[in-house]
Amino acid sequence: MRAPASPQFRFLLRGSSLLLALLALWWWVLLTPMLGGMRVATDLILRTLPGGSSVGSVTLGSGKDWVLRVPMPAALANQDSVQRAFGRAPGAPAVKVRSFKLAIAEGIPTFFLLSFPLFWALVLAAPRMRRLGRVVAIGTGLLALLAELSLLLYTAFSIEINLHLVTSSAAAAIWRGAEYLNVNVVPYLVPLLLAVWLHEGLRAQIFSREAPLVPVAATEATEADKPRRGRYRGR
Amino acid sequence: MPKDKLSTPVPESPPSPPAQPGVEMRMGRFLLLFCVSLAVLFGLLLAPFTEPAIRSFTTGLVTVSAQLIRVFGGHAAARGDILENPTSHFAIQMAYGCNGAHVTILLWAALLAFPASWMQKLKGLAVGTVAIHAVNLVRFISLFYLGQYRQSWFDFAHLYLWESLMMLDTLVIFWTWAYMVRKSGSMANASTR
Repeated sequence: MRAPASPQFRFLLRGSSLLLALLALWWWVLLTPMLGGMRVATDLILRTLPGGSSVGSVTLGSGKDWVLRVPMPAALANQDSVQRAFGRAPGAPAVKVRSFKLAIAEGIPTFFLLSFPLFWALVLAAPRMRRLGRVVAIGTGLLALLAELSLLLYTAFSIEINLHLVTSSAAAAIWRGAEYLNVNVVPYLVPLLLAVWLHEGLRAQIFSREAPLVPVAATEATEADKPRRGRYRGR
Repeated sequence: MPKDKLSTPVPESPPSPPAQPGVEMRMGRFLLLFCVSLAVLFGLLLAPFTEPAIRSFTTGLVTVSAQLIRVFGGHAAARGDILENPTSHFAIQMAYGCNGAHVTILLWAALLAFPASWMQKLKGLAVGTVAIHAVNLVRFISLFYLGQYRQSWFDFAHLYLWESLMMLDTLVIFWTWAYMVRKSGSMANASTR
């Protein structure tokens, strides 16, 4: 008789299949509305920033690029590096800088939305549980927040690259490290951590100290074994 | 009933086992150690003094990929961290984040944080790292062929599909190791009863 596949192997097969299916669904169906929602949210955030009510905006540029107009606080706008970047000549009066215009390829926000299909595939591949809908909803909400934060951090980093706002080398190294993690690690790592954190069944299977025990066939069991077997099974 | 019947673990388990109070306690400790390990290991990855070693490792992976392709009758040449088809001159570069270092760090942090003996951790680190890099070689070689076939498929597989699959594989490798650690623990407990 063939031994049943291990839960890890079944999880790998289910997860890989679901990932393929959900990536396809995400790419062809969900991505456009998700990008639209993210653009509206980013637009609202830029408008609520100090000085952003009149200048903050996100518009679609040529080739589906996102054109972000990020309000510049006076403290930043008056910095020497910013003034030089905006063309102030030495000795000339300060240039009035209200916003910074930045164009980013649509691939950037798309990339930050990748967390969703990965998270959904992981929680749907995990053992069935009650309130799965709640787990999916909470995880999706948190990932929406994360995607927005990642995009804002990317925007801040891009502005810094252009204007050289960070002067200390230690701060610059930390800033570069944060951006590296933001782009290369967070979109893949956070869905995995969220899935394990939110899905109790998956978490219990991975971390429970007690190894799952053999459900002994009824024909092999004696009467004396029954209560004990039941106790182990309940763990 | 023989004792070994009671203590023999099986890969099957109930669909949704309830979380135990102890599990939550261990999760807190695990999370703390995991985050610390992750921070230290990513700090090391991004530190300038580790860069030459990581570049050499990346170059080694590209060389192995080229050799594997040639063993199976394909055409490939390694030039540093670039894998090239000498016939079509199509080339792909194994960039800093494409050498499996991120998922290796993730696995190492999880293994180091999990309550197990140092010997078990060392075995997990060795076998898990080999498993991850075996999958990464498959990934890199498949991308090499996909890129020659269609660029749009290469982009999708490179950015979205393979990276996600690598994460899934890492979780499964860790889960399998944790399961074996628990299994050996329960075996040891059973033998001392």
